Amino acid sequence: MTRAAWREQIAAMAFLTPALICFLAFLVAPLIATAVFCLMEIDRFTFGMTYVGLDNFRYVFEDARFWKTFLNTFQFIAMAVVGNVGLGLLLAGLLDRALPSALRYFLRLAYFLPVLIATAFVSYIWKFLFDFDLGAINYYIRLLGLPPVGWLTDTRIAMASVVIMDVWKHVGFFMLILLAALQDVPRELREAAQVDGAGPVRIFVSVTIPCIAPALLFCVAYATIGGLQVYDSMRILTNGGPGDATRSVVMYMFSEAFGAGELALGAVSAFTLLIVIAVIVAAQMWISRRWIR
Amino acid sequence: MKKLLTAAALALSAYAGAALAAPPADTTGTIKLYQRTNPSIVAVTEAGIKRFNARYPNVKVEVQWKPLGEWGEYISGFMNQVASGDVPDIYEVAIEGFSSVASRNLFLPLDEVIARDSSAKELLADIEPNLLKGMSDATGGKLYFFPTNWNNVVVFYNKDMFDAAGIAYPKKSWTWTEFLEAAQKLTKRDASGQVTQYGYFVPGYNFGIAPWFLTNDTDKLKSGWKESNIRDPKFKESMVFLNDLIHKHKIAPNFARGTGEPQFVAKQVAMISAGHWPVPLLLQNGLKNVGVTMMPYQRKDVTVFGVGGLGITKATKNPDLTWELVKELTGQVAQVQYAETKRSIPALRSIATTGEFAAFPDNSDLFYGSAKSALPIAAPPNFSQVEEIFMRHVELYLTNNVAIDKMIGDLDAELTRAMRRVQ
Repeated sequence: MTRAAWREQIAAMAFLTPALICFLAFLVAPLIATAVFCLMEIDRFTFGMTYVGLDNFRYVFEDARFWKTFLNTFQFIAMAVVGNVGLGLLLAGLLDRALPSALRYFLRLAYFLPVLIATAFVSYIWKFLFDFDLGAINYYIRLLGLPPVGWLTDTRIAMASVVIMDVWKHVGFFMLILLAALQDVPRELREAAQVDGAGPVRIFVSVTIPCIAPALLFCVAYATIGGLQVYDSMRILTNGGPGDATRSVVMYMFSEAFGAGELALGAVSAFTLLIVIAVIVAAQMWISRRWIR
Repeated sequence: MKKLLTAAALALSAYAGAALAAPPADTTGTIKLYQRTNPSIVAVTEAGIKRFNARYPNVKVEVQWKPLGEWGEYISGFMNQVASGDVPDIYEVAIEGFSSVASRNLFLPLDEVIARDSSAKELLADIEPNLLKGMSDATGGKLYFFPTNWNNVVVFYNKDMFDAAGIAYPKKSWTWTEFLEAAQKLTKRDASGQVTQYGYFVPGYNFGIAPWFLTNDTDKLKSGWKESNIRDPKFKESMVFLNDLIHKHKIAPNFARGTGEPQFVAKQVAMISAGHWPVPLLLQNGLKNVGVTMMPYQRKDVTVFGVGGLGITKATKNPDLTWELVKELTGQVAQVQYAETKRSIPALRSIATTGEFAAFPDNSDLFYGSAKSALPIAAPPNFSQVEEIFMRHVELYLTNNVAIDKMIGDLDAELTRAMRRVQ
């Protein structure tokens, strides 16, 4: 290697070093620490560790609640992704047409406004709306002569209530992304399809969807990763209840590590979640390579 | 880290059992206090530190104020700090956190220190022995925490509602049956059958619901707090009774987490179970025609208590000085200030049973009066875990999401698993 090439190598390394240090300190080191904690029994006072092999994994995996929280998380993801991306696409489609500009701006702002409000604040408001005895929703349901609904107290409905709030809060974000994508679809393509005799549904499926596929995939991936990390809204709205009906895996992890003081068990939950997220991201990358041009 | 803490503990263990003498006024140093926050604790602590600094102007008191969301997080926060090597001199915690630190050889046992300090002995003589016994029992028979204030659970009742229903105020000692009869008469419905006033609010929190088991001579854990007691038929009986209050007799609103204070103030319920803490809210809202009585009983006329205290860690560099601060924060003047805030019951009988503190609500003598027979809240080393498991299953059953026998089976299995881990 020539001296100039060496210099270039050294300069490149110098520029990379700060980012590399941050990457090692804040990502790789905690990752290794978590993996180590999984195999240890940890004394909370002295931070003394005793190697216990796979005992912690065995203990967590034998806990039906752990798997229940995983199931809840995926149930939430399925409902929230469909709700957020589906409704976001529908709203974007409705706004992507000849509307008076003042009305279009107003609607865009109205749908996007909840995105700007803190989740904790939104959760408290919805907690009040969903309240069985004093909630506004049940008040109107009673006015219609119908029996009140246990929005947050019925195990069969509680998760749907959490999803309703989540969609209300986030749908504006997905609507904006998809609206931008829809406005990028070349008009000539649609017109050409129309000339060839395609109806609105066929145009949407064969022209619009392929054109906005990258944006759609981004929305699905973003909503999925957000769903995997859901914590604050569930914590405030239902605290995971009733029972474990709305407890996410992150809530389980937090209560094991910081509520029960079982750091190692929390680490096992975190490590398992990491592997699951890695598999999902890999699957999405494969899908995007395979299907999206 | 482990070696360092062990060495520090060994070096300082010489202090255990020794008399602590008040150091001279020109003593210099720093004392770190780990303290939870609530409006009354902050006010009393800051005033106590001011008095202490008037005596020891060269001593800096650093308070680490910790918000109390859940006990588990508060206790974990303390443990994390100890693990990092930053051990405070004084740790404030309630009985919920006593046993988690009891076996750690981290605190100075206070029994002998108190025995050789006449002013502390005087204070202790004014505290109900049953409270002190509960504190000692939670930490293996030794007193590691000096009591500050405490709370029990009694029934608050709206006298106007009793008058309107034409029924006599409850006796100081009454049964579940008498309670149910009163609650039924206090529940009002409009023409369409919609409830406009409930007789009672089933407590949606661990401390408040505990007496419903204790008054039936049972509890979630067996005595010693090491094993699940959920299979006890009396436990099931208590649970069914509470469920019936909501779903069969319909004298209580749908089960929800909370204390019921807002509903009581809004006059939506006639009775709630609580400690002394609703009193400031009642006075603020002009709700003065209120009385208290003991929790109704089925087999045992008792209630529950929880007590807070200050412990001195063995890491303290100057135990004599730290002890002087503890006395300042738990002594006569501090107790008077606790009484003024009205959020909890001062540990000293003379203050809790006299003056303005005892003037409201009606039958206020019951607050300290119950101290003799009250039982401590079950507080094993994994308190927060037990509390979380227990309340989760209770909520499932009281919201009619699960049948009683399934709930008993599931709760017992989960509690047994958790307790095995601590054993």
